[in-house]
Amino acid sequence: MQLRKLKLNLMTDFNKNNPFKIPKKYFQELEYLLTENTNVKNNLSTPKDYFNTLEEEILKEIYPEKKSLSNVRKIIINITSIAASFLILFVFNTFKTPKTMTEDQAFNDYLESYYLEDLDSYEMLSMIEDSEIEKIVNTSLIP
Amino acid sequence: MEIQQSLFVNSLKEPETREEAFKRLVSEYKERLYWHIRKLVLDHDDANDIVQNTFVKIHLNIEKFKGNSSLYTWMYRIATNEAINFINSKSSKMGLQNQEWIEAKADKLIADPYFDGDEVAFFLQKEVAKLPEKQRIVFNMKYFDGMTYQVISEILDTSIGALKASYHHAVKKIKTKLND
Repeated sequence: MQLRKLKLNLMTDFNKNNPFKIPKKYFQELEYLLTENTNVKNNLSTPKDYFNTLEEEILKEIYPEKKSLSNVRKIIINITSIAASFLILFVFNTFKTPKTMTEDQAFNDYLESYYLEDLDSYEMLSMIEDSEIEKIVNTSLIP
Repeated sequence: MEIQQSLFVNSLKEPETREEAFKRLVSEYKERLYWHIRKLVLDHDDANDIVQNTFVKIHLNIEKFKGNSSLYTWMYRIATNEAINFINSKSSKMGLQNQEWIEAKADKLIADPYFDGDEVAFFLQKEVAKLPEKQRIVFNMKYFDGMTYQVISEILDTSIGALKASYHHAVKKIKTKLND
């Protein structure tokens, strides 16, 4: 019974109390040695530092510098929008038809404003014809 | 191990963890996949193109990986297919059979700065190049990479019996040539 218990303990605790040890970084080195051996057997080699640059190249191809590209895009969009607003301003200012005012019109305006300033409401009404007054009253009465 | 793999595959599929996980994947498998491909196409520049395409394919298709095989064998299968497709396309462009194309590559090995074998090694490469495609792939994986039939069977999706027969035929042909 005790022997069976000991056997069971030995089996379950084997992984915990594994008496065998391996040199530090053994498995990394083993992998390296295995690869090295197969390459020696095959007599093929690569350019110096090839595997260091390979990883970079693969990742560049898959993730093509998204961040810097988006920054560049943002800058381009900003510049474009600023340029567009300047262009719109320029177009409006250049092609806006200027208010041309003849000398006669200017004088008439001046005269009218002069009269209106000096006339009271009765005098103003006297200047308007009766039909026109009716028309104004009727239109203002319509809801 | 399986749990670890499925966790890793999940992190490859999740958009938030994908990039970081993929960097780990490239770092861990770049050399093994490169050498597998290199032995099939012989030329360094070709192998460089193919290994990059392989990782791009892995990245694009990781969603399709169902976990029926190990990630390692799935990636090897992609690498093997990429290498075969590459040879098909190159040879057809030159109006050659696949075997003729690879034999031409093997003939140039002696002048290749990235081949440091002696005459015997060069002779062996030339003879391997003369093997039919399937036998050549099996011979490379078994003889040069030291893979087990079980692993080769999973990668090439071929029965162990058929693989043993292929390897046996390949070895026999090469031995005969070496004895001549």
